[in-house]
Amino acid sequence: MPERSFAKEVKQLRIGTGEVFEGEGILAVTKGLLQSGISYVGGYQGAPISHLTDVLSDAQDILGELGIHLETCANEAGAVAMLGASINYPIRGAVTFKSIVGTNVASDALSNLASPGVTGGALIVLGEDYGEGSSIIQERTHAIAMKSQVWLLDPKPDLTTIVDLTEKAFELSEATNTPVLMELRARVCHMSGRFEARDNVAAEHSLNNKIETPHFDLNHISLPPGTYIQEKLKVDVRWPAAIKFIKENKLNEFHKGKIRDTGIILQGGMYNGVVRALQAFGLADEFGNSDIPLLVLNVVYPLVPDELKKFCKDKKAVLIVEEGQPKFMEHEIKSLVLDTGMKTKISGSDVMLMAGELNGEAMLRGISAFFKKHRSKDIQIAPVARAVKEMDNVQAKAAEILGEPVPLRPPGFCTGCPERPIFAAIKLVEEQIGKVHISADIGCHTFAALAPFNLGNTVLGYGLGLASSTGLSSMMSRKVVSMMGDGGFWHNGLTTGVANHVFNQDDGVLIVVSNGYSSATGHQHIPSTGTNSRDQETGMEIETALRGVGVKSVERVETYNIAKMMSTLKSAITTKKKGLKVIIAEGECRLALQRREKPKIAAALSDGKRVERVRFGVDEESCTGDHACIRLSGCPTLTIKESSDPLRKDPVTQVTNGCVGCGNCGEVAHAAILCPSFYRTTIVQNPKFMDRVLYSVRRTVIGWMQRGEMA
Amino acid sequence: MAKSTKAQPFGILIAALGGEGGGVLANWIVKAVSECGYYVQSTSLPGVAQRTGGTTYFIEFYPVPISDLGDQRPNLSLTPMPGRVDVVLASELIEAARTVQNGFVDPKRTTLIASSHRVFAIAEKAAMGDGTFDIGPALKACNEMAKRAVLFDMEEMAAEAGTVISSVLLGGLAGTGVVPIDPNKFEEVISNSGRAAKASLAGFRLGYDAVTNKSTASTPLAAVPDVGNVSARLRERLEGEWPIEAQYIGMSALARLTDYQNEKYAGLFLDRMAPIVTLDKEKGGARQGWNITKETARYLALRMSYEDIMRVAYLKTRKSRYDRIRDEALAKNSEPVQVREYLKPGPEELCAILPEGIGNWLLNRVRRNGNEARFHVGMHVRSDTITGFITMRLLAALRRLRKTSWRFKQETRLIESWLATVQKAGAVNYKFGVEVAECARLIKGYGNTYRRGLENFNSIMDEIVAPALSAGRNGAKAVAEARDAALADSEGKALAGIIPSAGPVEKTIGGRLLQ
Repeated sequence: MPERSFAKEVKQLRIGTGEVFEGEGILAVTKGLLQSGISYVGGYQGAPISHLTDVLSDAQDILGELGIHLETCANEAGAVAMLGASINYPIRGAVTFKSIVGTNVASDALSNLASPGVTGGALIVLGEDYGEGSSIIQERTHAIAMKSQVWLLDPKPDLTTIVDLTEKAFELSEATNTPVLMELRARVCHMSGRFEARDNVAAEHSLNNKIETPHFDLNHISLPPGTYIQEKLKVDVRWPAAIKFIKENKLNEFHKGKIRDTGIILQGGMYNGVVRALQAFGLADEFGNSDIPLLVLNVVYPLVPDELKKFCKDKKAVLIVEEGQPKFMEHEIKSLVLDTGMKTKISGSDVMLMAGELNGEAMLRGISAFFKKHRSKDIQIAPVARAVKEMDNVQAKAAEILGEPVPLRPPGFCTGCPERPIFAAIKLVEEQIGKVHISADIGCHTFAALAPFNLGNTVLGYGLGLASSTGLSSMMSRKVVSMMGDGGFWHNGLTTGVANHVFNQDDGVLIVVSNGYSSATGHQHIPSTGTNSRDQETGMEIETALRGVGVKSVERVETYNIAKMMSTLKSAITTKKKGLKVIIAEGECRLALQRREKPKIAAALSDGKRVERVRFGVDEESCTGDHACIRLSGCPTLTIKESSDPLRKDPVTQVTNGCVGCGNCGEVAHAAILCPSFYRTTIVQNPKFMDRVLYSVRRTVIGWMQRGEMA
Repeated sequence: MAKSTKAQPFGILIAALGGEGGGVLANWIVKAVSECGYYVQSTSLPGVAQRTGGTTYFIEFYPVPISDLGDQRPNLSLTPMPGRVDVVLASELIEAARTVQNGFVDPKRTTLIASSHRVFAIAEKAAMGDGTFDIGPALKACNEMAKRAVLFDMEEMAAEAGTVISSVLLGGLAGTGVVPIDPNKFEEVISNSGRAAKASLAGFRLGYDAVTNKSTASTPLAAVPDVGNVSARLRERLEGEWPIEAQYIGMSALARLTDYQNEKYAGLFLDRMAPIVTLDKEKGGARQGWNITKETARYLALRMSYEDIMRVAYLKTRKSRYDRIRDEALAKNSEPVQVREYLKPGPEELCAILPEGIGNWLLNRVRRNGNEARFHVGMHVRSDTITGFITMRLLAALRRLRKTSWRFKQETRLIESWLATVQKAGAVNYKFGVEVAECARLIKGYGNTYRRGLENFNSIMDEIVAPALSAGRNGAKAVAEARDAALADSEGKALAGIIPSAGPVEKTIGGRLLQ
């Protein structure tokens, strides 16, 4: 069961026409899919879209009623490949995953889907993870849409628009035989709001009404001559059809404004921010009625030349608000304006932020720069300048008072995380044998590259930890240590990494971090979890898979056993034996464990059963404030406090009550011979009679030996 | 057409840390606002911060009932914009300061409600000395930049109510009355929020009262040292010989050393300090805050009470510790508490007991092939059991062997050369003397930590202090810089930048560090 349950929220997915739906963006999209009569749906988890797959698995009875097939895909390529069902048959399908990374993984399948094109509508809902809070490399999905020529929707952040566009996307897809991408940014995925619902639609073909005869069409195969025909179809038929559909259905919005000579063309997703900036300048009211004409592009690819010409005509200057780079829209609009011989100045990258999220501040600065550069007699520049000046003053004053920037708060391992001891062990082994090159991977364990461990020299992508070591391993005097999470292992690491490593008889060490779930994305199940998202037994194991592809040396180590972890790691790195040595570092994600155990413990306590609670502590008197233990842990509950000893200047270490007693700090201090200040406290709750007798005897005797001491 | 805006959208920015219930707080506010008939939108950025680190939530609503809006809908923003945020809720002081730093707290508009407690960032915690951010400026920034700032220790209240900080924050928000929502509405929403509702309500009320009664929780002061064990004779000596300003540290030192060894040993401290105090008086220490005396005394006391196995065993079996552990573990009186110590003494700890000759012989033997670590024996002593207690007390009793031990002799040599250097430096320049005294700060900890600190200390003494002294030059600045460098990283990179002979020499290729 995933971290977050939507069991309650999904009830709303049943509501019908006229009723008001209130909830998160991803729930709205799900409702939109059900209203569009899809036959199948799938995806691969990844922020910010993870919860869409969670919502779907929580909504299985509803999907069942509508005869919709749900698939948890192996990876994003698998998800897009699934859309192949719509190539030959009039059935609608949707898949979801995070972008840009997921789209990259999927791009081979996407090309092979886009080229033959689709008969039934195919929609890919993308979590565009660009900007603040992103967990991945910063690239735009736009380029992928352009090179595969699939249409890209960027809806105005408003649930009604998002749901309407979800439905329209399928019509567009069918009208143009082209798959459609819809990008939703992180803030939109998590946005709460309301919209008027419509009835769910059951598809013609579904689990309840199967397709009788398979369809064959040579032109749907990615082989010559089909591929040449398909390439021609893209430009001769599908593109014009798309332009026509977008125009006729008014997917893009024209907002008139009283100012004639200036305008703004923006991605739909930028709408709220642009209007908020205009409000700050006194150029729009709180309802979004703007003095500046706006062309809101809910479809950012393809662009509709007529619409753009119509908007730019008779304007002195037009600003293109487009997040990230390259500025594809800006370039296209510039050349279009040039071709038509219009005098309109197209502005964009010259005033707006080139790289990074267009947040409130970036909008204020960029749009005001545009107004200053392209003066309009109808726009008062004073309030525009003032809004920015005031922001500058506030920030300057704050910086002056603070003196230096406040400390950053990078992500790290949770309290009691079973992955922490792995990296503590690596650090300690390095102290004995010298530094090793760590070929890191994607997952919670990537955080090890940050303070305090700073372990991880390269990250090349999901499941690629081992593959990214092969160029180097033979060139490093000391063996390269590669990381891989169990998520990445099943995503593609087993083949791309392990099998190929064995095949090439490379040398190296691989640590597979097995915490039981796709943890970073919210505990979605993976093959080695033991059950799938429908809680059916899977009986798939990492060790079996490893041995199956011919790995000889496989060690399973319980991560909290620092000593064992260290010795296993040390011998794996230092051994003269060639070949791949795999260490399966096992320890269930602490968050999942807690979620399962907490209620049980609470129940046991209320039933008066004997329960031991464990926590760790540090003796302030013997702690000298060097904090080496923290540099080997980074646990949120292992922190510092001002020493109560007037002679000590340095803060001392302390363990806060969030401690879950995993024992990492104590074991590490022990293994590293750091200091004797750590101790383990066991509190016996609901003690039995003997517990109490023994305890009081001990207290009395020890108390007697301590007599005369002040309390 | 832009009308003259009647009502502005109301923006609430929440800055929290992973796992503090920021999401729950956002949902409570959204529910309350929406049930009051307003059009509301919220969004969040968990991103990578879903596990730890900072997370932000942003809520906007339009303070005119939907029923009065007709078919119009307000434009609500997904990102906070500097100058247009009405309320900032921060669960921790530095997160509050961060919103100020980013310009979200506007003197004309923003009410800042935040907890004044600190959750230290990893960079602050991992520092080898004191790496904490100065809270003075942080508090000042919050108070001066906000239209109204409400800061108090919400962590304490959350603990008191047995809940998380989010409910206390909501109470604080309700208390300020800046949102057009009846406090009862918030209480109603919390009450319907399932299992933990009761604790959450308690937290809410504490937060609410804290604001409405202007009562703020005070931060506990550092405990005053117990000096009951210091003999009258030593007290008189101290009060007779020392400037009054330095006597607090002096008394703490005497108490510590009496406790560490005995009265005679504490007397040795005063003997060793005598020339320093004299020097300080000659140098007009009154104008300098008697810093040579204070700092030398501070570190002399710490170094004379170095943590050997007897000391540790004694500290771990004191009555006060047993009580502290119970309190810290929040154990009920009826609940037995077991304590397991993580001890791993090795040859050097043994040498804190063995006579010098045998100590030297032993260390040479075990260090010959550099695997001293192998000779450490792990001891998991249960100090709550009678046998465990007695074991520890027997160890503690070995303090009688301390003064003849290898370690004691070594410490004595180090202390005396350091004291001599402090005097020489102090004679050259007052600040120089203080800085040299302060260098003793580097020598702390156990095992490798202790050895690394000692090496750094020595290289500063040899490479910076000694040359300065022989040239009769004031090396205060150079010493301070070197000391900070020594505390900058545990691999000695920074110090090596100042003193090449110290720490590792890094090879680089194309300007990139080869590790």
